[in-house]
Amino acid sequence: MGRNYFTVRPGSGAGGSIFLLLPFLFLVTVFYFPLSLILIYSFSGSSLSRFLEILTSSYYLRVIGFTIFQAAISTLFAVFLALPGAYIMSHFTFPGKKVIKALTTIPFVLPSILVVLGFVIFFGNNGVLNSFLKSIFNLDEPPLKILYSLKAIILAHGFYNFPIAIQVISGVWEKIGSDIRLAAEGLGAGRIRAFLTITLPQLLPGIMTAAALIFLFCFMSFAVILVLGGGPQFTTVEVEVYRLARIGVDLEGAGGLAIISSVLSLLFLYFYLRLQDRYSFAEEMQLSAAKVKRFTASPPVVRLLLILYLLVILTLIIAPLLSVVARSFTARVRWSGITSFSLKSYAQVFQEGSVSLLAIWNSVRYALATVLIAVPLGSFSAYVIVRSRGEFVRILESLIMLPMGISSIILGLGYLRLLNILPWEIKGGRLIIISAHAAIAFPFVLRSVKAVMKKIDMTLVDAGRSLGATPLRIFRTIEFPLLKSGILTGGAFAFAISMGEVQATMILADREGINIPIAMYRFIGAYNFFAACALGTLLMVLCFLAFLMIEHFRYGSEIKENSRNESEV
Amino acid sequence: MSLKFKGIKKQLGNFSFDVDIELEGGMLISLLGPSGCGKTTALRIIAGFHHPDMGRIYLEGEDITDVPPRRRNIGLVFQNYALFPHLSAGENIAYGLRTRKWGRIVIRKRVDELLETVQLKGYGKRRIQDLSGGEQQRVALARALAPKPRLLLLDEPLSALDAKLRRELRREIRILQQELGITTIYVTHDQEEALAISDHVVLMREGRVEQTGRPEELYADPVSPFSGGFIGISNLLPLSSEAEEKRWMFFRPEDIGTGEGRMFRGKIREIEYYGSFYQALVKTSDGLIKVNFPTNHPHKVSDEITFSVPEENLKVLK
Repeated sequence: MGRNYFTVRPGSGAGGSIFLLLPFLFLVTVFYFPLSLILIYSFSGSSLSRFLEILTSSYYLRVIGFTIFQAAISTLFAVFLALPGAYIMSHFTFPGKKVIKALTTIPFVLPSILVVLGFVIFFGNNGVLNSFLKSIFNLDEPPLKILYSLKAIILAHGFYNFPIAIQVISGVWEKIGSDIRLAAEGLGAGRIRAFLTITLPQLLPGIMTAAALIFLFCFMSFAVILVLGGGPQFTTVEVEVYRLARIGVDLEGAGGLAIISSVLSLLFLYFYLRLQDRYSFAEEMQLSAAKVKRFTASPPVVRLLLILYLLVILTLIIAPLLSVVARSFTARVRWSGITSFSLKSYAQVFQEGSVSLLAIWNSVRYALATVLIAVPLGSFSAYVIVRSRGEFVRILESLIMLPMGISSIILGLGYLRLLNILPWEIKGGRLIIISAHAAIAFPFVLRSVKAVMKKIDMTLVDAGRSLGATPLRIFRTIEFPLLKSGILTGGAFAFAISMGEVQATMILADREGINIPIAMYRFIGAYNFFAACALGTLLMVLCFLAFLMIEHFRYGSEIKENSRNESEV
Repeated sequence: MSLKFKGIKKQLGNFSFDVDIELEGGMLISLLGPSGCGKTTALRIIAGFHHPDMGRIYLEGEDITDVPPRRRNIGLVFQNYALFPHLSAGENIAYGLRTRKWGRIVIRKRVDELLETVQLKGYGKRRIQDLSGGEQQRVALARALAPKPRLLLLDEPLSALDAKLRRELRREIRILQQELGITTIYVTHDQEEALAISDHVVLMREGRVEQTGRPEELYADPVSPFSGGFIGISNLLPLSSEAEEKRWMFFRPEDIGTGEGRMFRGKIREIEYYGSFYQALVKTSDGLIKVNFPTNHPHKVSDEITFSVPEENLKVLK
């Protein structure tokens, strides 16, 4: 009887897995069940032969090959682009550094469709860059023709993902500290030798982690390939799954390809998680070994060059986005090709009864519903996972994180299968889209909350108990206030993810169910770039608000970390 | 007979805790020992965070073994202070009063009173992050004392502070404890700290009580080589070679003289300066011996010296 008091926390021991059953059941319904339908259908009867057909078809083998190839090249490009930036961010302090650091979060919340639109508007044949170059050098032809080619895909992937690499690599570099390098130099090693033998080996896990993550993103990339690839020559597995399912209405073929793609992406996810484990271990080692020291002494010329690099790179990221905003406030005067300030495209977007207005309304509904579902479930799961020990909970956690390694296209395909077997009709597919969005956002919420939850010292809970607080009171007055930043960050992520979601929505939405990114895609397809830009600007503003919220809570509240060993006897 | 461990046993992995002890009320009692000796386990059992596998624990005669931590009314100061980072200093102190549903005005009065007690008057609105280590320590102490606990537990409360502040604060804690007359259990691995401020010391080793007594008793009369070696600076010389039971000759560096007693002869290897005395390390045929000299002594390194230890200062420990 009395012993109950000592195990009141949800999660101590095996009890924890019971609490995790609820979020897990949710995932089974919205994720594993639709996914397993793909498997079941692909390995039964005639589908099996279609599966084998795909597996041996030279066309699809080429597509798979290209998918891996473009991801590898994009990753290399992004990492090399990021290395100087990571060096600057980890070694120098300069005004505006905090802002730049915050900007590296952008890829996590920026919808891919916006990247695509910005790319077209900025780098396109009639884009901002070409117009600028044409007017300067008096050219008749656009000097840069990069759209609808491999170049475009790699550039877009590179610019979109290199901030991730900066974030990860500079984080590791910062912690290596200069002492150990100075020690090597003190022992007679030259600068280059010290870098190669001391700094690089410590940096490598960080570089590999960043590369693995970017590779995974590029492998599962959709909107960039769909729009910028521009045809069967530059198509990837994801796009092909979409084409087969939605345009070819060949669910068997799509399912077969989806399985191949998922096996590969899960393999890459596993690889990434393994690396991340090592990287965080390495990080801990370095943290305990050396205190962070910033050395700002460096020739001013070098500093200037490095900061120039950052400016150019950031311009390349921000300029396309600003071009979208600028374009949205203009209109073409007659057919003369001259543009002037106008709100016409907004009038068009907000026109009553228009598709875009429906899309805006849908997007807001999807995003709010996603937040309402994913945030409580994700937060709750994070709370239980951190407070629990035991192998079973770890397995459940991996199962919860698995959706990160399955592309949304494939999840969408699973839902198509589900819709086919449901005895009743779901109008507009909205409910289905919401549950897909929630399943996609769920692991992100879990990760955000878990990161904060892990930092909450158990002695705070003990202190509350010894001061007479009930478990409920401890949660309300201590744990929840400390978790709030993680929960709100998770919420902002969920909001942004749902807002920018293209893949699953595209495969599932009927005419009534489209969201902003799909409406944008349709405007782009119809060469109505003004309207696309107006919608894009609206999407940007919404995601920027989410981004601001994430940044606010990252720097706003810092929980004191304590290194005390809990198990000390 | 304020706090009583009656046949308490607790198994934590490979570590087994087995203590049976009675402690008097109103005193400052140190739980002393090296890390892993079980002092934190003892504290967690008293606080109620660990439930013993066997045995009962009594506070002021009441069996509290099955009372949950929040109903024990025991004040606890954590090693890392465990101050709530999202609350101000004053709100931290008020926390235990709010859980007890004190009135707003009474709480404010009590918080002010405690801030004054720990010499932090006017600090109530400060954020925890803006306080120094010593100030945080004081807030933690005030928070633990606010609900007028029956017992105060201090878990290595000064270990995160620098040496000078540590001395200052341990004196303050001692004075406060005597003023309030509150029974206090003070967990520390610092034998000097324990000797300096305790009424009573419980020396622990590997989950068991090695020796208890007044600080003077522990210093003068160790019951085992472990006690003798852990407390103060000591000489422990292996005696003879009886294989079954190893025995040690024990005496303190300051116990030497030149008169009657056991004679030693050796060469000075090293001399350390301690301010009010010198301590020499002398190599003798019995082993290395630490010897204190007054500051006006004539010895230097490499000198051959002869000294004696009076029989009453010599102890044989096993």
